[in-house]
Amino acid sequence: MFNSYEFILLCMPIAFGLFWYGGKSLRWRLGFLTFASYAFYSYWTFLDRNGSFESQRFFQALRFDNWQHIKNSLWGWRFTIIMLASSSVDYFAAALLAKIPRQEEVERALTPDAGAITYAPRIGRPRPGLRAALLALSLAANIGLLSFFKYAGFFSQIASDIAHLTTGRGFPIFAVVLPVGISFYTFESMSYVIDVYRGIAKPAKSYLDYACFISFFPHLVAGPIIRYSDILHQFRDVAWKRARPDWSHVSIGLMLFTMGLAKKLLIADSMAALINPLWDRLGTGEPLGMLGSWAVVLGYTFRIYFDFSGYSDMATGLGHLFAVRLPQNFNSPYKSANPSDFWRRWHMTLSLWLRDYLYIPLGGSRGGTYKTLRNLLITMLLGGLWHGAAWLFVIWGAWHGLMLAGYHLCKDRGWLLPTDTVAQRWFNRQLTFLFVVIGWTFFRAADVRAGNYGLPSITPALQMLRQMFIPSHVRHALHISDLRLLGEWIVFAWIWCNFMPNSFDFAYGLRLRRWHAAIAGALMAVCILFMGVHMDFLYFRF
Amino acid sequence: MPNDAIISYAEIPGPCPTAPPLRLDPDLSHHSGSRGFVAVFLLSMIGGYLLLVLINLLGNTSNLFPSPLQPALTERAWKTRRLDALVRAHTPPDVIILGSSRVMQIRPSYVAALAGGTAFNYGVSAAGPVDWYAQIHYLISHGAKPKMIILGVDEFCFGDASSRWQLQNFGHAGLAWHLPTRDFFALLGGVLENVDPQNTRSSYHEMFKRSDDNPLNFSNRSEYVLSDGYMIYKHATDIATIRAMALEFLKKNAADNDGAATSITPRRTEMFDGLLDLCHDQGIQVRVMLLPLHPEYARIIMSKQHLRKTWHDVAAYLAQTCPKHNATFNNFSDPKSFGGDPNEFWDGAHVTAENARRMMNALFGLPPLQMAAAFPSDDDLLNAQVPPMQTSKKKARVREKSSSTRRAATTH
Repeated sequence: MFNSYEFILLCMPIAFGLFWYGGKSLRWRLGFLTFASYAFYSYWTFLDRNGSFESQRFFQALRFDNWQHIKNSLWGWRFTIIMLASSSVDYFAAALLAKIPRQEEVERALTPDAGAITYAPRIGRPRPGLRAALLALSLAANIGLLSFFKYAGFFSQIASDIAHLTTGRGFPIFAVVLPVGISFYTFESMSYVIDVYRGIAKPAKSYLDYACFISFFPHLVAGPIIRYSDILHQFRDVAWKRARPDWSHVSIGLMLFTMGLAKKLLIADSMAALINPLWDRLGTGEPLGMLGSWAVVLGYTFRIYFDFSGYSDMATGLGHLFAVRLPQNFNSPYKSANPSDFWRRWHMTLSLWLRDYLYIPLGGSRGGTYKTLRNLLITMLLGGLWHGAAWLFVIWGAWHGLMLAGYHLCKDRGWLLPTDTVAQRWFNRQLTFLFVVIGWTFFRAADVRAGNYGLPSITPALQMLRQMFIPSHVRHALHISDLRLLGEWIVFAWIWCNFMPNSFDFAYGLRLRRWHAAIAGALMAVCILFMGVHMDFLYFRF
Repeated sequence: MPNDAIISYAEIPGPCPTAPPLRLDPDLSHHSGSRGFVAVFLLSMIGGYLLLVLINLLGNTSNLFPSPLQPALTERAWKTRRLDALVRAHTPPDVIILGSSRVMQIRPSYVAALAGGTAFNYGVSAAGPVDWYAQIHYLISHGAKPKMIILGVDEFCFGDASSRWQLQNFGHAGLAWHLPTRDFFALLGGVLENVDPQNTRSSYHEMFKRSDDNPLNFSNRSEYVLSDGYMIYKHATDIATIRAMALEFLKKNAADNDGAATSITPRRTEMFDGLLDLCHDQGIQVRVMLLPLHPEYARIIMSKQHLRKTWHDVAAYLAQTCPKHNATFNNFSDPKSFGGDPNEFWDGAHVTAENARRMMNALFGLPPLQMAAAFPSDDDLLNAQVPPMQTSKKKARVREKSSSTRRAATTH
């Protein structure tokens, strides 16, 4: 994990040193980065439930001297093998796809403009059926993998509930351990194969290229969701041909990494320590009161932003240490003027993926108002489901789908609120923020234990919403000191989110001076001080 | 061209109402980032962190640092400082009692009467081979080489469990320095994890206060450690509590799936064998004993086959290795073996002074009930005109490490 002593003080410096000073060849750098990324990923497999590395289990998994040991080892490395298998299927599917010309390519080759009067045998025959079959195979492998590991429990619960309603008897629910990062790397794999199929991306030059792209550790477990064409040219960039690090990259990388770490440890985790115990009250049925529940939901709204954007900043910063630029994932989302604007700023790489591979294939906005609204709703419902196999994530997705649909409907009919004055723009911004905050209630409540996947799991969210909107006679539900501290954090975070530039604007817009380095270094030291109070990144579970 | 990839997405037909601007390739040319920038960053980070460690070291509210201003008030550090004082006074003890908290009820004055010379109880909570390694090496290097070591062994101390109590070795520089290299670095990591905001803030305030290493200043009066290392317990428990403690142990141990925390590991036994050899080479007589458990506690714990097996394995190992290295071994795991009284236990694992006295009698070949010297009650000791030296073993404020699975299986 990026916010651990082991990673910052050991893994990161060693990986950086070996990458730059271990060899200059492309093969070394790709090979080392792939190896380091797989090692980083496999590390998770050998953690116990307290997060400690189980060295004994690790060494047992390295034994292949008899059949029993081989079976144990395969089981020990199962998540790594799954990622490797998924990558392999997609790599070979794309390689085959690239060999079969698309209809347009053949037509272009046969046109007089291209200088080919007769049929050109080197182009080959277009075989759309085979291409579609290859694409389907790859998509089925990825979606099947995701469905099994992520949604088996959820869908079996639904099936069981239906069986219970109809026959009076349910059946056991699947319980499958979710491999870390599977949602991210399957999406990246799918985008690669689809892009090659569409002819807008070239296939990987080698398996190593592709394996490195999929496994590159900064983005592996929680994004940003990158595309092969974003990364390919960077592996052959001038920075990678140098024998020594590109210090401009390293400088900006350290700045971004420190900012991300500070957002995570100093802000998000501090807020989490205040709000988590209060959320847990929902599970016990203790009331929070109107003020308390708003404070808790607002606290979570800012916490998730600082947590996830902090992670994304760290990932981008880490990418720079290896002279690889990763895309921006957050662009001050709480400054959004409307729901559509929000999704241009929040988890940008996911919304871009959903747009390109779901919304547009569904028809986008080409089929009139009704179809646009339908497509928006379907896209956001599936986007919600991508976050987790639970009804609350579906509801969260539906909430955002409705927000987007409502916004587009209002836009079509000219019912949007005016944005002429500063006050009007601020009103729009805060109104959007309010809707987003309500959405987070569903998102966070998914963690509150109230049954597994079934419909009772939505109860905590309903309880929270009731407390937020229906005044109750609960007094002093929270310690006044807790509420005050939380309130101070919320005001601080609100000011930050509304008036401060985001990390990308800040880091890339700054002309770096040495005193910036001194401050960033001191900030990193303070972050290390806070590192022992360990909290996972929220998006690791997705 | 780097931007080709981004531009190509725009070729997809159809309007894109939710298209986010993907910033992938910011221009870095105007950045003055350089090797100097990185060097300043690293220097600032390391310097800043060292400053924070220094505050923790000087203020030492975690009691994990050998602070010259605020000495660590933990058993390992406190007892080692008492030994330092004896060495400075040219009266190093002739007999050293080593072991976990389960030997802390052995009275050095009684042992001195049995063995001759002076004695000091150097038992510390959750001690195992790593602690004994540091303690014995420190004693030898510091000019406090004893003539005899009485070593009480816990049945599960040869497992690979690391206990948070071991972090307290860093409270005394001499002890920390003599830790085995691998454990030194592992424990150093644990100590640095305790350089946290709360400890740093309180250490900063403590830096400017006078040291409270005054033995009379402790507020926790439930346990007392006298100046010769003897601990007076004030926690008497009934049989129901003993059963509950045993069940709690089993519950915690259940997380230890592979039994690694309790079973014998080669590294620990090699370390133990090495210590016995070292003592033999140094002319130190070693008397090893496997410590007793309350019969009811033992019945519940040993109902688990892997724990029962470890208990037998440890006894067999000690019976085999001690004579090989010129040490004696007594298996006191059953209280009957030394004429012990099941009612003379503070809890499931800790004997009272009376049972400890009988154990010493058996170790030196005397009948259990024979009195080799005057044996005042604990209350008499507490009410003596000159107040005893005291320390509280729970004084250290140590943050829990994440490896609680291993720790949970460790007995104290």
